[in-house]
Amino acid sequence: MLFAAFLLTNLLPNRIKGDSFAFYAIVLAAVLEAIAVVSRKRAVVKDLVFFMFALLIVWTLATSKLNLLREFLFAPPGKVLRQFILDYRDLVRHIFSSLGLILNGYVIALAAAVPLGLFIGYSMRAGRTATLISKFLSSIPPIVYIPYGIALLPTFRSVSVMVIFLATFWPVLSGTIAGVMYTERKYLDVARNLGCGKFRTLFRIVLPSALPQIFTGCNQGLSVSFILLTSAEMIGARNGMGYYVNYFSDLGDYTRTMVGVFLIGIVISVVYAAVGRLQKFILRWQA
Amino acid sequence: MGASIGIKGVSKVFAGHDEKGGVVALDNINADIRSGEFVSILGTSGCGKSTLLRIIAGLDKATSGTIFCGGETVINPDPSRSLVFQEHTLFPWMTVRDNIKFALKSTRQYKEKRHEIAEWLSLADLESFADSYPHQLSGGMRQRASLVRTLAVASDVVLLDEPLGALDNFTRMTLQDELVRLWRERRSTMVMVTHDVDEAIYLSQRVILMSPRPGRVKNILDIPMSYPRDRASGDFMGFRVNILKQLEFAKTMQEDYTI
Repeated sequence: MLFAAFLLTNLLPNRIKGDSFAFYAIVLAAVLEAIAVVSRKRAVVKDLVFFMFALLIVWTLATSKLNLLREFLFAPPGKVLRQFILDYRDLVRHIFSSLGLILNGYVIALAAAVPLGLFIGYSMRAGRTATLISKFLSSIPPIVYIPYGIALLPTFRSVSVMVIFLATFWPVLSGTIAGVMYTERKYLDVARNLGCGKFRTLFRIVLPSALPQIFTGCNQGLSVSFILLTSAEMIGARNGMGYYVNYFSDLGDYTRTMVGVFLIGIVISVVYAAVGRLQKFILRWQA
Repeated sequence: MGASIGIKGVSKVFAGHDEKGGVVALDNINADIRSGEFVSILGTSGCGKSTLLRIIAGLDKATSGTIFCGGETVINPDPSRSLVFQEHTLFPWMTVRDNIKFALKSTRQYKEKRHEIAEWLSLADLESFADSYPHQLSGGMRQRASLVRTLAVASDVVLLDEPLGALDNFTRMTLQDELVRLWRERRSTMVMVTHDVDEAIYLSQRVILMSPRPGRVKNILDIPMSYPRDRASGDFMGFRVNILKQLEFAKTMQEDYTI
């Protein structure tokens, strides 16, 4: 239904100069329609496609058909989509640049924070103090460390990695400590009763029972990391998705700016979905 | 065959919040439990029966007095004296099978006893749930799995802290039968804490009655009935009335003529 409505809107006369590349938008719409038809049973997919059709119609009407928005800033959907395809190689490079930085800082942060948190949380007394300290330190938005990063570290990449590291390290650390400290006593009693050693108790009992809270810290770190990285890229990088958006908006190429904005949304959603899947799998034992 | 347990003059004082001294939870407890015997510790809440069990397990320390198990003094927890808790204590991140495996590995008997896992699973009627996680099981199944995990490490002494307390009445009676069956098959020494009079009579050869604040042994009762027992028999009722009277719940009726 909405697919037909969308096709009809495309028959309306254009009111902007130049090509609106409606062809690309129509192909996208056809693909969406196909998806909706194929996945007959899943209501979520259907609703999503419905939403996207509505968006496409409004977008098309507001840009190429009625020219309600400023043509210079808002390109019609077909044009954005075409640019997406033309810049394909470049975009992939930028995605990998950004994800590379995230992965770098993130992995280092996890590798440092989880063992440290396990160790601190396992000795109760250190745990209480460390919780307070890491709460204080995690409340400072890591972006304020950037001046120090720039002064102390040689390259943009290393500064970014540091910022991402800090954004992830503190929430993961405090999550791990909390998780370890609140390991239920009954599990520790059973472990003691079975004669488990310290290491066996730590890795087979304490660590798994702390995992949900560790993941909460990881997720918080990840979302802050993305915010920080894209902002940092807009300021000082030569690569990355944030750079792409900033560079082309400076040049006045708002079609590409829109491409960048959508790209960031898509990439981050995909990363979240993947991370979510992974965590759900690891925590499959949870009710 | 299980080990015998000697409880000699055990007292436990919990430190108070101020200097004045704490709460006396257990006051000079003495009892002897024979090897392979099923004994229940029965009392109202606050009589320190769970504390006593934790001390026998070695998880808590007595303020004074000694516990002997098989002739040796109990100092630390040991896999030969396993405690089954009121709520199930299966590790939620391991499947039922892995829970049993973990217990065997922790006690370094996995190699000799790995083939017994299947037996235990069938004994607990859980073969088809061996690879399920605890959250996928019903309450009764979880408690059975918990029990079997404890028995699988072949405890000489099984300490049961209201093991069936969190279950509904029917599941509970079914599991009581299971417990009797397991005990008669394994002949471990079983010490069960409960506040359910019927449960104590149905399961045990002797009942230790405790009174609260401070926790003391009030009486030790023999239940000389053969297994399996009949919940509706006259003897059963006799013991029931006797115990309730001793716990001061069955008041002798006084005829009241006043209006």
